[in-house]
Amino acid sequence: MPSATLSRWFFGTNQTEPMSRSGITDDGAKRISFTDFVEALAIRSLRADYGVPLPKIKEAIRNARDHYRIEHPFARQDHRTVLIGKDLHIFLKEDAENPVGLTGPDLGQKSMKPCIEAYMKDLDYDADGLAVLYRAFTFGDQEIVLNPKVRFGAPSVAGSGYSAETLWRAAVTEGSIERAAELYEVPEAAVEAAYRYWNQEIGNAA
Amino acid sequence: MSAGLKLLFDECCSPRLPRELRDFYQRDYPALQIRHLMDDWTAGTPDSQWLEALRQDPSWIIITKDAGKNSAQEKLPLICREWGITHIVFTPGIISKGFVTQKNAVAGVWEQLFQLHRLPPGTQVKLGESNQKGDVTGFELRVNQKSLITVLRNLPAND
Repeated sequence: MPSATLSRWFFGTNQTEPMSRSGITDDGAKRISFTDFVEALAIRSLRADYGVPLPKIKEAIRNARDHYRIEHPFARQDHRTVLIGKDLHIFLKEDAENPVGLTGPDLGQKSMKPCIEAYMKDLDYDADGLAVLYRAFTFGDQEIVLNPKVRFGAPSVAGSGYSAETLWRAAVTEGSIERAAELYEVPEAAVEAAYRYWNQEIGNAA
Repeated sequence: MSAGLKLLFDECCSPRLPRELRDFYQRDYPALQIRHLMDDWTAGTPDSQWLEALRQDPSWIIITKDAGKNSAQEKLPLICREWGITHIVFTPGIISKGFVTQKNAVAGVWEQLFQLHRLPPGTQVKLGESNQKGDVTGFELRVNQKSLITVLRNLPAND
């Protein structure tokens, strides 16, 4: 995800208000929390996969906060936000069966329509229902995960002990996945997962 | 000091690097300590956490590929400088040539490593190829683009 996009969403521009006010700027640099990042994934998914316009997403975040006192609606398990038709809805903690609308004409009304929650399938949650791990990529039985408690959320190959970037770089500099796996003493599949993931990220950033 | 050289290889280095250097040098340098970060720390431990432990014993020298240019992560060289931990950073040229070159580079400057304790704590030392003419490639340690030998020569005499 381009850093310029994240900056626009979380810090706004001269012309636009930020999507969320949770960006961290106290040390002069622009930073976002893991929760912000998870929310950004959801926003990207809503825009790219479901064509939800940004103003509608902003409206949903604002309404979640103003009407239901829910911050980070896209990063929570107990207040899952879903898409029904073209409008965003939320499952409130007190009623896990019936989502209520955050945008569109049925704002505040119960809706029984089926819903979509595709962007939540790769998240793990803590006991409080807040996202704590994001499964960014899967290759065979190998997973690239982002965990804020490990390397400040940098992508890692689960179970290998190494960051995805380290194993990707090793494969590039050593000339083969097999050699990198030998040198870093991890399964070849772990290096291949890192290699495929990082190449995909480079492709997305280009 | 020379008998007690302590080298710690960062996680971005192959764990075979410290192991093979240790196997090669240990008999001649019995007090030598060469470790890989993951020998002692859980994977993914934030740099500031394990560096805090090393801060208690500034005789350790860190060897890393991390030049601190990744804005998304903690800047290891910056923390080392602030906390007085001398560290060696492989140059991009050495990194791009892979494991064997990295191992040869450390071995190529081996004797000079024993002089690093004379530098001010927290100094960043670059390990790269030396500018030699012809086909022979050498390795050298540099501080602020000056060779370590030159820097040491200009240190006050009581060092």
